[in-house]
Amino acid sequence: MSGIKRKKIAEEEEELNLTPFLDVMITLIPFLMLTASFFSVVVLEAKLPTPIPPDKMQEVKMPPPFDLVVMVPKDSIKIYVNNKDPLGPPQYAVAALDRKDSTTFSDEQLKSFHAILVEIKKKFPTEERMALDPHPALPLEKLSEILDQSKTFTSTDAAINENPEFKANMRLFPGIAMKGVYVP
Amino acid sequence: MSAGGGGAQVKGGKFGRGGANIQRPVVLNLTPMIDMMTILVVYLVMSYSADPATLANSKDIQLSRVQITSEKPKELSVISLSKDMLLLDGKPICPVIINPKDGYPDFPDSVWSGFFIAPLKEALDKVKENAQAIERINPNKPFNGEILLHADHAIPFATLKPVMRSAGNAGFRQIKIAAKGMN
Repeated sequence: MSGIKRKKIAEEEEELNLTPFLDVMITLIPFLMLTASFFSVVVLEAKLPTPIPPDKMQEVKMPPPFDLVVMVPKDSIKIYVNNKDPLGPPQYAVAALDRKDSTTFSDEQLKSFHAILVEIKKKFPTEERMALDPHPALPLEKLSEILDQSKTFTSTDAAINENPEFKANMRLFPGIAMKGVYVP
Repeated sequence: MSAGGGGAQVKGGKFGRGGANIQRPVVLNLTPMIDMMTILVVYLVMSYSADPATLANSKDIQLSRVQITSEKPKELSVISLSKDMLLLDGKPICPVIINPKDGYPDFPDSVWSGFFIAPLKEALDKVKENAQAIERINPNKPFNGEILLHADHAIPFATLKPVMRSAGNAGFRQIKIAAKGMN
């Protein structure tokens, strides 16, 4: 090949046609931006109480060895632990009167509630069950906050350093049953 | 990534003095735009989620916010409850009305069957039958009574109760409530 021919080929270098690539990109970006969600969805588990079959009624211990009930009326969070009188005063309570029209609890109220559950867990380290009895007017946001605070320890809880099992599984009271929903 | 040599030629204006008509091609450099678009597409594709909870998300439903929980949703049937409609897997079940007695969102009288929402229970019975049929063919996919509840954050518990009760009666006793995670 002569020197002139080689020079001609170099001059006539093919250009990359970017038009189809740009077309695809311009279609893909608006589609992805419109359909993408920029938050993560998590799930909170709540079990419905299962009726005890009549043949197993004799095996049920009365009163139960551990009975933790969280009642959430409009103005407070009431916590009953092995309470013999269901209408009596709760062992623990978090006042929430100032936030009764709000759809959320305040950070202080949630921290107090979580701290109470951690204290109860320290006394009953093997127990994981909890019954939740919300008021009919309680919005889902508050219900979700209660479920969220009850399931696991947080990394800032000092109790996880006191018991290696707490640190290993981080489980607070994950076995939550909705007391207000009776399913025949 | 860079698309080297990307450019488009456009005709330049007149250059030079004294009216000399010298037309030079002006090359539009597309490389930075292609770089930016590629990065954007990769980011969007990586963050794209097709889980059922995200797909069920709509403008009518604003999820609750939670701080601690980080459990991700599994592939489940989804009950969606907004202020004006109850849906199962995106199919409308019944409208949601306002109860004049207490002002809570409620369901029309025609859909009630005792303590249950009849159309929801019927639809969930079918979902359960399908899940059990799948379990018979593939024992690795057992029916475990889990259902995802995708409801608006302001819905009161009084409205959630009949939905949960209907789900429980159809065999779905493990209710997974969808929420927005902070992590």
